[in-house]
Amino acid sequence: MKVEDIVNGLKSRFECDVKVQSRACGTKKIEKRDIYARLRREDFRKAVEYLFEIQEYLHFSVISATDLGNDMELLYHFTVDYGKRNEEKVVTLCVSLPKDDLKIESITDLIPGALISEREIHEMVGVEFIGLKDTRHFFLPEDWPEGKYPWRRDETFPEDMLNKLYETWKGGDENE
Amino acid sequence: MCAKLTKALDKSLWVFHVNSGSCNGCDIEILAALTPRYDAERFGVHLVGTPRHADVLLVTGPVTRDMEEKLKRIYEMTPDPKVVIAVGTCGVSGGVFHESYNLVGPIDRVIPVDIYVPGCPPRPEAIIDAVVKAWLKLERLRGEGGEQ
Amino acid sequence: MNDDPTFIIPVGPVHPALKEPIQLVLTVDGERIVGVDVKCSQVHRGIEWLGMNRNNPIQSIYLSERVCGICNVCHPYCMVMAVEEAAGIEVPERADYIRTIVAELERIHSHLLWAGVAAHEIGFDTVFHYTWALREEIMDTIEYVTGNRVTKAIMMIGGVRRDITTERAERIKKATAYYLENFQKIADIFLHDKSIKMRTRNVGILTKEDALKLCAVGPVARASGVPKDVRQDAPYGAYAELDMKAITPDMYNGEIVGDVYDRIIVRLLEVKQSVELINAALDNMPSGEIVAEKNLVKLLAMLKRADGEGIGRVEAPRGEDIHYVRLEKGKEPFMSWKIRAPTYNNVLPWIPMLLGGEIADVPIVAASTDPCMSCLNRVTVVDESRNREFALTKEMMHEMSIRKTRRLMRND
Repeated sequence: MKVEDIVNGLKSRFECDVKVQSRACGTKKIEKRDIYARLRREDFRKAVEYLFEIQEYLHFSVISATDLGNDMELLYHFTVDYGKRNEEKVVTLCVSLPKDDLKIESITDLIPGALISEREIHEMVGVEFIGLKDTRHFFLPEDWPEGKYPWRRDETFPEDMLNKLYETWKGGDENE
Repeated sequence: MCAKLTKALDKSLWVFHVNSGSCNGCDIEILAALTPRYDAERFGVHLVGTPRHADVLLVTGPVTRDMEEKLKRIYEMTPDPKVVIAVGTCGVSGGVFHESYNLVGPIDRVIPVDIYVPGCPPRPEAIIDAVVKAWLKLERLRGEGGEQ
Repeated sequence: MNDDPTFIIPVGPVHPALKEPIQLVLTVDGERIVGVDVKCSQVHRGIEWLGMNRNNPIQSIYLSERVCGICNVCHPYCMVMAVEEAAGIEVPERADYIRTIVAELERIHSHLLWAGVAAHEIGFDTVFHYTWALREEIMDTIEYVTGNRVTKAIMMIGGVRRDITTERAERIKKATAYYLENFQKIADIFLHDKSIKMRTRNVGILTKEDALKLCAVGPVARASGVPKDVRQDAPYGAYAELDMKAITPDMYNGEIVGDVYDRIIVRLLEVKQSVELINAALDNMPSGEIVAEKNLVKLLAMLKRADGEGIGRVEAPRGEDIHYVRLEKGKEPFMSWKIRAPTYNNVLPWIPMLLGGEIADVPIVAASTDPCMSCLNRVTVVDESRNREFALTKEMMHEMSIRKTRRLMRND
């Protein structure tokens, strides 16, 4: 499917802001075009279902999270048309969630492979995935303090847990 | 030196390797030290699968929060006299990972370290050199303990 | 008294030579595996946080090399591609070629390392030492070309840090000739040896549907018949000119089973493919600059002014690697940085591969997705029905694996 068709498909179905970032890649200057669609939360799941219409087994890469101050932006990176020469496209669905209501529907029922990524975002930034059954820690230790999120840029960041080794280096110099 | 080594060579050295959250760079160099090019096994250096059999602990990595207790337990499980070698810059000083929220290291904050091998990762020759140093130290420890 | 006849076996997490220490919790009924759970928190070092708060982008290149000691070209490669896209930096053609060559050198080293470890897991230590001895040639070449054996430190935002001079190109040619000469020997051992075939054929099968559903990447997906390879699908660097094609096991013997043996075929053929790619790249390499901006102070100032986001995707030896980077004007560290290593996606496929298998197959099945699952070090068996606990060491597990090889040899 062409990039334009995906963009039009997303635009006609949902109220969203679509950006196509293109870049001539490599020595043959093959154009790599990444689609970023910034959607409303209520449309997100339908948009994933729409991507399934394009690609039977949608390839899910990962969820990125960006702290925008009052909001947390989640970026779901998908790829479509994989397995074909020069055809693969990255489609990123972005959803902004207000920090006082960090909730979004889980997509693990559509894509079982998204389990680890949802568990990671749950523990790193504190997003609640509705429908995600397994919410145990995956990358953080089991005794990690509750309500502390290392990838957020606000008061929930565990400042006191930083291992400030440079302080000891300074101390070492003074002793000498 | 020769006489000393001959005396030290009365027993082969068994080594246990612990990864406390390393990137694996040091770990593959430790394995490389055992394979035909460097062949540490010709000196009787043997990698064992449990700390209970080991004379030397080779520790890599900057010690993550999850590995702290496990590393302490492994240290306690190793019979005395023992020597601990910290392999790699991040295990020696925290290296590129210092200041992270999930580190409790470097290694000498968690268990006592006898020999430091800096390098990211150190070359297999450096690791073998450290094991030889551990050997000499082990001999001294045995001597102090009154063992023959 | 519990009537449930199953046992729970935690595998790991302390084990040498493992890139990402992972703990497997297996539920077994006798020898059969009936349940699998994966835990993974031993090696989280907060790299993304360091890149988002402590480091400037150039420092983060060296940090991203330490994500994994084995794939230490693809992570920085991925990161610099994302930053170049976000900041709009053009890379000179020669740099694209050098990046491609170094990435392929890394693939040879990684696949040979994996082949040795896989042989070790089925109790074939002779082959382990043999492949690692062959691997030393590529390590020497990497050291000659980049200055380091393991951590190559060659990537830079906008290009590379070291050129491939004529002498270095000759050294690489010598290594590729060495591997072409020895390739048949390795292929004979791995693909025709009876005991390797018995331990790997129809073991740890991942169906095409499971591979697609669980988003498997790299050789694991390709061995199950998904011809997915970033080098082919969305070419970067010099791959578009080199006519790269994803390798699936049917190219070798016309069938796809999706088992451990198929993963061996894919990786071995990829070693040969890498050798050919390197030779072609060396022949076609254009002359010119190797980096867009030599002055690091200017580069940093430019990155500080930049505002934008970018995605870098690279085919690492283990599969698709993806980095997302967002730069914000006036801010030196990344606004956002997400790393997704290939193993991240290849952990979940362990579950269908292991289910229904035997404990003795755990080492080789786990190793078949990931080159470094060399030591399932400490395994505790909890006998739920008798409320008893006993330890099964990695040695015992390894011993069970060797015994299975012997048993199969006898029965044959």
